[in-house]
Parts: sequence; C-alpha cells; structure tokens
Amino acid sequence: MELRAYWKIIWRRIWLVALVVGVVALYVGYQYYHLRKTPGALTAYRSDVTIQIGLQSSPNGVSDNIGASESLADALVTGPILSSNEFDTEVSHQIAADMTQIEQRYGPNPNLGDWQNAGAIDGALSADRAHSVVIISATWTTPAGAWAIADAVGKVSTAKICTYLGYVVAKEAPCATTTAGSQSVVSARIISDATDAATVPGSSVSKQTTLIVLLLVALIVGIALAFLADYLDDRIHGKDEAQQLLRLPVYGEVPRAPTVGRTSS
Amino acid sequence: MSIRSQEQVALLTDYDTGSAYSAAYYTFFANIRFNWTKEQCVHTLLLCPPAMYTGQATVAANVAIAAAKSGTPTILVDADLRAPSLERRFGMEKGEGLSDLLAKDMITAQVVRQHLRDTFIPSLRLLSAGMAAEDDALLLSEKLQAAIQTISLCLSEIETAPGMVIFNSSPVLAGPDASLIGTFVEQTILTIAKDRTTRMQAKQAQEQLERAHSNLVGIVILDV
Repeated sequence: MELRAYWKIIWRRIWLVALVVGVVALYVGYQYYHLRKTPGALTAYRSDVTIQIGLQSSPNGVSDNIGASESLADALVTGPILSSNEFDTEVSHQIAADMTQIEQRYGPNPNLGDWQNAGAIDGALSADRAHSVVIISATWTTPAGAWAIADAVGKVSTAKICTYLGYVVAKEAPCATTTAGSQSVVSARIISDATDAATVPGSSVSKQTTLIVLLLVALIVGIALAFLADYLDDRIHGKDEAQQLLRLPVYGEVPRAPTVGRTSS
Repeated sequence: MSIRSQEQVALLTDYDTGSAYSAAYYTFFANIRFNWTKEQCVHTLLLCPPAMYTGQATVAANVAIAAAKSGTPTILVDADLRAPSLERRFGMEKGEGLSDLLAKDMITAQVVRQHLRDTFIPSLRLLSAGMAAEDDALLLSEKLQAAIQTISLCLSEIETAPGMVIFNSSPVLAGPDASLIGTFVEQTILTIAKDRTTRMQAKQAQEQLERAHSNLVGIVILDV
C-alpha cells in the first residue's frame, strides 16, 4: 500500500520528474554527441612494440651488464625520454620517412590523425618493462596512426637509444659511437614489431559512465522534487487523502463534467 | 454562448443517463438514501463546500435532479444568499424565495408553497434565494429553524412519498450561513473539490460544522 501511495505521488508530479530528467538528458545528449564526434574519445586503437635494452662489450661481466640494462630500461620507462619533444619529433620524422610502408599496409592516404604534432605523440605513448624488455604502447585515434607511431617508436629507439640514454651510463660506461675496449655501448633491438592496432577504450570513456550516472542522479533529484512539491502542496488529491484527513465516509465521487453531448465512459 | 445558457446546460439532465457523470450522481443519492435510518416523511440535507467552489450550485442541483428522477419528491433550496445562482441554472427569472420567506412575520406551509417554483423535472421544486438575497444576515434570523421545518412540512403536505429538502449554501468558511443551516438539517455533507480544496480548508470547515453541532455525515469528492 505504501508503494502505491508513493507511486501516486510520483505519477501526480511526473511532469516535474520529466522536466528535470529532460533537461539533464538534453545536456547529456549534447555531451555524448560531442564525445562521439571527438576522435579517440570513446574508442581508440593501440599498437605495441617490444624492445630490449642492453649494453655491449662490457669488461665488468655479465651480471653488471644485466643490472645496467635493467636500469636503462627503467630510465626509458619512467624517465622523460618518451615525453621529450626531441624524441617525439624524431618519431614524427620517422613516420614521414615510413609513409610508403604505411601506405602499403593501410592503403593510399591512410588516416594517421595528427601525427605531425609532437605533443599529441607524447600523449599517445606509454611504456612498461620487465627487466630489460620494454613494451611501448601507442594509443591513437586511428588504427593506422597507432601502428605507424609504434613502428616509428621502435625504429627511433633502436637507432637513437644511445643519444637518449647516454647520460645514464656516463660514469660507468659512457656512451660512445665506437667501442674502445673497456667502454660499453647502449643498444636496443626490437624483439617484437609493432602489433596490429587493437581497439581499446578511449580517453573519455569514463565520461560516458559519468553521463549515465548524471541521468540517474537527475531521475533521483526529480523524484525527490516530486515528493517535496507534494509535501508543500496542501490540496486534497483524492478520496483516500480526504478520508484519512476528515475520518468521514465518502458518499460519492463525481467526475469532472464532460462536454455536453459527449458520453463519458 | 452566454454565461446564462452555459449554466443552464450544466445540469444532470443534459447528460446521457448512461454516462459516468450521471451514474456518479445517482450513486451519490443512493448512498444518501441508504443513510436514512428512519422512514420519516421528509429528510433534510445540506451540501456545502469548505471554500469557494464555482460548481457548488451545480452539485446541489444535480443531486436534487437525481433524487427527483429516482422518485423522491424534492425541494431544492438556494440558501447561498451571497451568490445565488440556482434559478438561473433552471432557466428561471429572479423571483421571491428564501430571503423573502425569512422576512415574513409568519412562515406557514401556505406561504412556503407560494414561494416554491416548479422546475422542468417532475417532483422537483425550487425555492430560490429570493429578492432580498443581498441581505445575507437574514439567515441569522430566529425564523430559520421555523422556515426549514415549514418547508419540510409543506413537502409532506404536497407529496405522499417520503421526500427530501436539499439546501445549497455558501462556503462554510465564508461565513456562518452553512453552519447555521447545518444546525437545523438532518444531514450535512461537505463537498471536496479534488486538487482545489486544501487540507486546511477541509479541516477548518469540519471543525466549524462540528462546533455548530451539525450532523456532518460524510463527504463527496468532486472532479475525480
């Protein structure tokens, strides 16, 4: 019975609930439309390239090399190398150089997104490591772009690793372009080429959940407002209410007078 | 369509007898009828709203029509001296009525009969508010009780079957009129307009009628 009474209140003020939910739904719809229109907001593509960092020709033994390699890999993952403008610009240049290869893979004029923007490439890269093996992921708005960036990152890393990690090994094994007996040289090799781009949730996928939550909150607020409005409304809305208030029997319930000549059911 | 003609058509007789609207009034009258505990000749009933309600006179008129059409001789009394409207609803010209009756030195069944007007419904007579309707203080007259008794007596003299006198009054909270009439009639029913009458108005009206020792037997919900 209580539930029926609650439902009556909600139904009586359903316009209020609909108004609140409607306004919020318009806002949510507008936001969702923009999310759908924004590339990579809801769906993105990721391609991974796996490289191994190592040292060459160390006189200090294998164990020291392993320890140094792990440190170098750690520096690549956690350090500012991948986010540096120089590295990202190199990646962009590498993509330009690889355009023929990319076109062979993805057809003429592939959609690579904003690949010339070093800042965008910086935001697309993330890395993880296991010992000296580093997995660099490129998350991008288009599959061709994700693959192109991952491939270019692999190539730049292998070709220019010595430039970027030279400062790490400067004391023990200064980076050199030539091996001079006792000196170690930082090197990197690709273990696994850039993978085919896989679909991953976009950067704003959590916003989609937020919008759904917002709709639910609007519904709850609308219902709460309906109850508040009903509480503040002193008018009698029905037989039960009148009976409960006055403790008198109801002798009759007369409907609103229909238009003359029209039979009401 | 003029106001007058609108008021005339808004009566029960203008609707299909099989409509929910008509059925509701016949059910309402039946419930009033069930409540008659003794088979006396004439029963008196007051219908009054707690606060101003434009359709109040129509409610009283329709109950009276339902009663008359159900075979109960009925006198409908327009005791709303502040805003009389029943004679217009029945398409009548302004004439002498309750206020003129109360202004008389002696109220007899003969005098009452002279003031009653037949309507287009057989067995339904109307005692309109009267020419002196503006003077609503007339209801405070000591003759009110005698007038009600004489109207009942008059009906019992005219008709052999048990009859009913229905009073339509101004709102309970608008003045003492409804309470005064309620004191002298057998049953009082409060009309509650759904989505219009407030809880406070209904409660205050109930308390007012109880203070006046009216026999408030029930309520009728309008515009459901």
